[in-house]
Amino acid sequence: MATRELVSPEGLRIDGRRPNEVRQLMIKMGLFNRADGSCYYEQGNTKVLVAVYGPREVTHSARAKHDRAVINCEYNMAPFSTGEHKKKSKGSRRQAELSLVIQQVFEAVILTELAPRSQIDIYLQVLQADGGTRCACINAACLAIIDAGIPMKDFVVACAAGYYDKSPIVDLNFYEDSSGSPDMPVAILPKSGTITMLQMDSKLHTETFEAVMECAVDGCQKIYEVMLSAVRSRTQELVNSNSSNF
Amino acid sequence: MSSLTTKVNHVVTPGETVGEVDKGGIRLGQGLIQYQNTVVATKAGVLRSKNDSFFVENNQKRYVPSVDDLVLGIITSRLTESWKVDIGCHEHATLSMYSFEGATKKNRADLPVGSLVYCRVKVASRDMEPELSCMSVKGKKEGFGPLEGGYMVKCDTCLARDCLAEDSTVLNALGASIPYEVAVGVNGRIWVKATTIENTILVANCILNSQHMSPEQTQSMVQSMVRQNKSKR
Repeated sequence: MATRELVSPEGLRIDGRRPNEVRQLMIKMGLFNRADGSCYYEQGNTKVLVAVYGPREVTHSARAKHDRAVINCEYNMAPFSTGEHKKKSKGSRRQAELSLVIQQVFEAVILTELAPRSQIDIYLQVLQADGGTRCACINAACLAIIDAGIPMKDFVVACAAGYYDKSPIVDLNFYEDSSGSPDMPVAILPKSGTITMLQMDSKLHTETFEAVMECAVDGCQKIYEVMLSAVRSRTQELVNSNSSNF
Repeated sequence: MSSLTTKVNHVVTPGETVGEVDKGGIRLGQGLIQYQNTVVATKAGVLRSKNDSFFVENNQKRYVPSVDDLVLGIITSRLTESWKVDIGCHEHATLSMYSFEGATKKNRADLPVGSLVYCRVKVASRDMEPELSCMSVKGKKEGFGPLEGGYMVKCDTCLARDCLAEDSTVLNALGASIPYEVAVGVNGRIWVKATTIENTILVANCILNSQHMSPEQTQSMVQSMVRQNKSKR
């Protein structure tokens, strides 16, 4: 249980944010030479690195689909990413669940019908975990896929929200998450507002559910603006540095 | 009802509505998709138009084949009347033994596995493996076929496209000091051949260095590398 209140009487959270403020974002795309697309993404103290390969040859031809690309997603937490050293880094249940959830998010947004009989690999590595790792991974993977030039219907942006003392709070860090606040990660396609992922642990009353979900969707739209401007400025940079013959 | 031409030469991002089309006669290339009457971008890049076709130009490492692309392929295996060629996309392409100028059943081309070939993409559909041809559309050889000697480097697709331009700064600057041959594949592969090995490596390195340089920087880079190379002898 919380020994400190998550939101002070003045309306400030433990790290000085307001209940509707998302943590500070830092985005760097195109880091790796070998990967088709890559992105380093920081959301507060949560640091995530994603590399994307594809569309490329399927590793096991039995898994190839005749009419669409196969998306293969691997979520990994570095042993130094959390406070205690993680001994078992391969094959934990949480890892398998997150890999599957993130794979399903991207199956809904990548235009897989344009590359049948191929495979798209998304490798997610959490370098430092401070709450909201699955949302940070989804955002970083979206940017890495854009960096790789794989066609997508729209961006996909994720953000989590919780509930404390009769009001929703957005983008929980590790302390807030483990203090008993319900955690609801939501992923949306910003143009249409379509929800592609919605999860929740613990219980929420149906009336508060709507409010928390709206709070998370709001947080997604704020993150979307930052991601959009990062993509635009990087594309403009690349255009300026290459000559064009059109 | 905005037409597609308003956003030409502007940066577009995935999910962004690019324009509306209400009649036919426009071809949508890579990076654009049509939902009923609206055209939406699916990649981040710059919207370009050439004649009647619109597409998104971006800098990606992975090559996606489309018809009439000029590519450099490596022969990986031989079938009865064709070869399997690796052109860098997710599937190996087929090159028929008859798609050479003047090839007949008695007079077939014979290329060993591992050779480098310069060819044209004849068929590129998502449902079939790509097909290549070593003949131009009119059936002439025109520079296609196997490439002997030299050295092949891999690069980003946009550097390859830049090198294909007639006024490519780096190729012209190199040509002013060193005689060399070059074959540029839009699948991110460039083959270079000069008279000596040092010159070949010099040309290849200059081309790779020039990717993010402005024309003036490219000129001075080429001149300084040629000078350094000469002073070593």
